[in-house]
Amino acid sequence: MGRRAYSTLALLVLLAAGACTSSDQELRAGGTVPAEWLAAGGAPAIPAGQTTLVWVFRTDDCLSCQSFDYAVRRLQATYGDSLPFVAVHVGDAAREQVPRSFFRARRIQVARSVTLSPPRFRRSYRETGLPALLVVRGSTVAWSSALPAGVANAGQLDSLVQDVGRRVSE
Amino acid sequence: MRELVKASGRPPGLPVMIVAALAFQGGCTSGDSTPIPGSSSLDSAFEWTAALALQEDRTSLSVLPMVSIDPRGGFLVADARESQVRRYAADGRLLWNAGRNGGGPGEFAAPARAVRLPAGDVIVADRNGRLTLFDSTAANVHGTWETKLRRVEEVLPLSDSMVLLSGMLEAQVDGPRLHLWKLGDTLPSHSFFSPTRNAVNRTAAGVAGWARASLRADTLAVTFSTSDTLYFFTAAGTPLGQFPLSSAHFRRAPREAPQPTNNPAEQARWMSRFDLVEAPYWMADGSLLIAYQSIDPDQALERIRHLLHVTRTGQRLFESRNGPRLLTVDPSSQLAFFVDPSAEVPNRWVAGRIRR
Repeated sequence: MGRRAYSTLALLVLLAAGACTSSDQELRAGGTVPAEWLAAGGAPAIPAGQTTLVWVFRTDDCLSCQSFDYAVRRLQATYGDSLPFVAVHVGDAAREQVPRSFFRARRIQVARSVTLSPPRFRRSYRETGLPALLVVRGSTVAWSSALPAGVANAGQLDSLVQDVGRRVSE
Repeated sequence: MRELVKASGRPPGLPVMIVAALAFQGGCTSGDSTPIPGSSSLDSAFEWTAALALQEDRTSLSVLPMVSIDPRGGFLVADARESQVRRYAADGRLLWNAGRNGGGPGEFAAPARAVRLPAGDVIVADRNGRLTLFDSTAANVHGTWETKLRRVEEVLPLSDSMVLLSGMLEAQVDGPRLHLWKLGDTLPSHSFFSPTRNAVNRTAAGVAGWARASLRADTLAVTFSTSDTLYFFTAAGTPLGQFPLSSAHFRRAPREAPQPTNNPAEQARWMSRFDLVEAPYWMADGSLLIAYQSIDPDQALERIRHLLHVTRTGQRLFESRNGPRLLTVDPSSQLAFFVDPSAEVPNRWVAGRIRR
């Protein structure tokens, strides 16, 4: 997926957040992502067969004991560019430096990062617990995981890698 | 946490515990190497001699390298974020790696330090207090031990059967932070150095306190993160004296406890109000390099690195602010290894000697 496609996806994420009208929509496995996530002007942002890892998080999630980055690095080492990572930052645009620093320090390759204001996100996805890691394939959230602040348990990280890896390989 | 309650006058509660979890000494590193007024540029203090890049591949990525000089050549690296230890040749070639996240033999939570024992085996200390003894190439695990230590940040080999460990024993915040530990034992042979007992800023010392040490001949130089004092002991733990560090910039921790909060940004702001001494390094002439750091709350808790060069009595020889992260000092070559300030990644290093 090229830079243009990622830009399109990011734009569509933004559009999706603004366009949704349901106040209790949840980003969860089995759900369908908004059409706006998928295509704009006929150009699909997530190509058919392309699986994307999406981390939806608040600014402060970058200041707590997140350790999911270990799992993401394992996935990126295994799947490389075939599993792009999209960061959806729910926070103040003025604090974008915080997640940018977080990803740089944790050496996570971010294909695209977008920022949504918390009110805008809440309006659209009120019931979505944050932070959350999603595997988006086509129009479907193939897998999702709420990430408590300290995903430090080795078993959790293992299952995270295996679950996501299975979804990617399917 | 009982001692914390006593120290601060009120229970610190979960928020402070979370702050404590943020405060371990590795952190990240700032790429900004601009010196500030009143401090020296590292370029004026160091003569740069080499640059090297640690080899990386699908199984080995440098995220938070904690570096020890390997007496057999090259470096031993414990990477807390990657739950892995590695050996690199002096030119940066990866010679071996070991470990993954977990609690089984050869697995780690967050390895703080890997060092080689005199006979060649490699001992790894996990921050959670678990020790793992590998053979010389980390191909086999000889054993693992739970020490009841927490916040382990230092391990120094004293013999093939005895190491010096830093850490908090059984959550005793005011208890001793250095321990002579016979490998295989579950309790220390001897414990000493209790820097928080009389600290004026005991909350900070409790939540963000760690000890590091450097051994030269039979003398340990010791620092505690929230204290701008340099302590000396014999290798057996007998006190030899202490001197204040004459830093022009070090910010002491506030006396008052932080307001209870669940807001990580507020916790980070409190943490950013004071500096933390990272580690001492003996130099051959008896002077010491002291690495210290600040936390930047606007950069995802990245550390801003500072360096102080002092005499054995703590007198300042030079001080550098906002510099690269000091990784280790080779006691034989006197080369100091830093993360390359121009690099985005921590596997690119530069080495230099103090100008004379």
